[in-house]
Amino acid sequence: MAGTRKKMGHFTLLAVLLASMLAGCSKNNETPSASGSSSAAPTKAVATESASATSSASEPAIDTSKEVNLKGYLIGEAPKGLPEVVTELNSRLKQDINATLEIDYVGYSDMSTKYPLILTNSGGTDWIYSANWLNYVQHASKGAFMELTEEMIKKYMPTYYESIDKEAFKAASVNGKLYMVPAPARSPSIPVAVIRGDLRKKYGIAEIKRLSDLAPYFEAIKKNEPDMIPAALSSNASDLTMMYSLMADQGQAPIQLINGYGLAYFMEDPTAKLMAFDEEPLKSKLLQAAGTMKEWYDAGYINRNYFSNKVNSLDAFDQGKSSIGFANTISVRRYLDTGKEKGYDIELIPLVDGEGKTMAPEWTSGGISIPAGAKNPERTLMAMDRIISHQDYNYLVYFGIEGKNYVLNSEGKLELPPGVTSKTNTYPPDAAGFWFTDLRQFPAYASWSDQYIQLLKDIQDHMLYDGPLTGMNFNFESLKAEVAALTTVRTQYLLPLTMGSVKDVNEALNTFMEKAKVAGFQKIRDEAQKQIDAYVQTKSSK
Amino acid sequence: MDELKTLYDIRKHKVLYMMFLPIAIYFLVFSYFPMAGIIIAFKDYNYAGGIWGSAWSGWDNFAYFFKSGKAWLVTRNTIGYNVVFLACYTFFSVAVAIFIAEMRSKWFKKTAQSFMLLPYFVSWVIVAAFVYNLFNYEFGVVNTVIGWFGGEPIDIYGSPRYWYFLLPIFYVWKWVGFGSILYLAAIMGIDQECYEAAVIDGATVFKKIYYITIPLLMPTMIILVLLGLGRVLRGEFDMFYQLIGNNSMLMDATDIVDTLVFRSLVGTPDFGLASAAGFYQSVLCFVIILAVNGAVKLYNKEYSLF
Repeated sequence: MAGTRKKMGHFTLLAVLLASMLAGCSKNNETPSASGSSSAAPTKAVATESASATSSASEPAIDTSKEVNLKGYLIGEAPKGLPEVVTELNSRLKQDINATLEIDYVGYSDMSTKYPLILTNSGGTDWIYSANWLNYVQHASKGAFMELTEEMIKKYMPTYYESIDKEAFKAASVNGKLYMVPAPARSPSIPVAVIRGDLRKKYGIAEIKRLSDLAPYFEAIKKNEPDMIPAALSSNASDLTMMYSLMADQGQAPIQLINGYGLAYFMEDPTAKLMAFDEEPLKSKLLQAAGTMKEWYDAGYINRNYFSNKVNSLDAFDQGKSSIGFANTISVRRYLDTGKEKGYDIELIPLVDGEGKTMAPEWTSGGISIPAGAKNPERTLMAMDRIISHQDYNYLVYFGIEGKNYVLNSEGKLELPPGVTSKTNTYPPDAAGFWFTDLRQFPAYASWSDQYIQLLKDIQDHMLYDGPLTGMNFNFESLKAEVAALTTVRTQYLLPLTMGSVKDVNEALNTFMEKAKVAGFQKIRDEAQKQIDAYVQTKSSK
Repeated sequence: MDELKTLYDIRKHKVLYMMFLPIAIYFLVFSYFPMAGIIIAFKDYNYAGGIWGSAWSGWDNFAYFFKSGKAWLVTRNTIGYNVVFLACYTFFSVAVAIFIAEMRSKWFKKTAQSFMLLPYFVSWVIVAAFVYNLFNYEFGVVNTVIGWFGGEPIDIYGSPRYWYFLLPIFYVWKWVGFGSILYLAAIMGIDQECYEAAVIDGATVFKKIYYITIPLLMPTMIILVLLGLGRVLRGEFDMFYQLIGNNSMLMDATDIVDTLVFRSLVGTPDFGLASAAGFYQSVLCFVIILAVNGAVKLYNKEYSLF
């Protein structure tokens, strides 16, 4: 009995194996014939269309006969209205390039773990949002992304290619190779603080132009608004940079930090010579700013337990619990809307240096990369060309469906359709994670205050400054251990100093520098300076 | 000869072995095969090479852990907290199980058990949110109540001494419901005749507990404690990370291996460095469990795990 059963077992196994092999074969045989039969019509249609779109007759038609589904990842959460937008997007893409898009999200909370995981298993992923703040350089230098050439972009993304400053490709390259389709317009995104103008006027405080003027405003709030904390900060990154803004405030010496490792250079120094936090003239600036933070912290203007608070200052501001919120010029838009509905008179303080300048955002602050080994890079690039640079696509993915999520009023400004509020809008602008489309095509919003429109204008006119290292990407791959060790030292010793929650500012700075040196500060400094010198050299020789 | 015997045994009890097969496959796939991935700890990982193709890097991946100057501190903290947790958890679970077993009112028994089990299903993220609302300096419930009585507010998030007690309390609060079920099951398995005989001899409730229930629970307790010790270097990451986070004032008192590793690597995604820490924990756990098991074996062979 047992013997026969064993044999039968072998037979079944064989049968299964055979069946699967045959299936494999037949699939391979079938594919070309199937696509062959359905190819003729769509190819032609697309060919003529792309020819007319680019008006370059010499380009050979791109073969789009096989329908493909392009799976990719964005950062954040899917807004409620996404399925509708995707349906509409796919019907257009299907017609134009015979492809559909499948969008998944990497949530903020598991970003640091899930994002690298997606890159290891690129089997099914065709595209992914990448950015310097998502460790674009590190991932690229480890071979996570497919190399893109300028020819590829020129061929498959003609509209995009025409609209972008070619400098961007150089800036987004790692070791001389491009792994990202950077957003074509550098965003006017600079850090801003928002305060409550209505409360400021109520307590008779003079207009506030810079962060260091905030003390009387904070004092008035503390005294008169028992349900508010003047600055309810959180462990969120944007809330932890207040001291650096106070440092930049101090005048003609804007500084730029190297990843918060206790190193900085002056933005207008063309050689970008690094300075440690305990070297003059940096030290006195830092101590003064940290001193202000400590005064505010001790006076109770800043909440004590910021490190355990998970509600960021901008949300607390929106809920009326904080009198200041930290944001950037883009992320603040949603809050301008909701603030207006709540009757706040929101005033903006651009976080610029004493001369009114700030570092221009990097080209790599947002873009699309293709994981190594992805199967349809051509079609992905074609789809992205449309999404990024064709206005109808761009509006669709960024603002949603016209008439349902937005309307353009008689002045051409963007408005919510009647009956829709910012709370009930199923597809709020910017919320879907398409942070790489061409911003220059966007209309102004009807809800923007004159101050905000003026600010956007000022930014473009005179606030952005291209520092000596714009476009440079540091690579600390060989110093992983030092970077990791320094990261924990920063969290434990530098962070409380910058937030004012230390007993003595001088002493805290010394402790931090001491611990940092043990963790490998000098090695990182040498390596950083070496890379900076090399970069400055090549830049000046160009 | 032995092999033949095994083969014969398999043939004879093949139905039993078949029943065992799924669970064997489960452990092979999810626990034994992934062990090979441990070599990442000794490699300079890159995406093109994957696990097998990347270059070897010797002990480099371990360096950051010791460079931080906190390796000893976090190891000590991890073991310290886990031992305290394990002791509290075992004590309270056994106590609760005994109380529940001795209760007469069925309705009260069930209700009490349900309420104790409830925290087991609440995630630390949510616990952290209400702990923050309880203890934060400005608007926390605790400080508001202190304010009503005219007292000075206390800065709980700024003083490590509170957390030496709070952390075990939260741990027990979360796990005691689950633990008591395990011990309750063991109590239910005790032969009722022992108790009947004791009652005839005039034993009180406390004497029954002391002379019958606790001695008979001993083997269960020892096995569970041994299993717990096997995880003694795996800190309760969720709890520490959510409740305390990057709070620098508490850091020296509450930093455990897992939080240190997370903090170091959150900005530098590197599989090699992370696996190195995992490897360090596993090896220490392995040594500890062998040592403790050996000690138990010396005391009473029956109680040891293997």
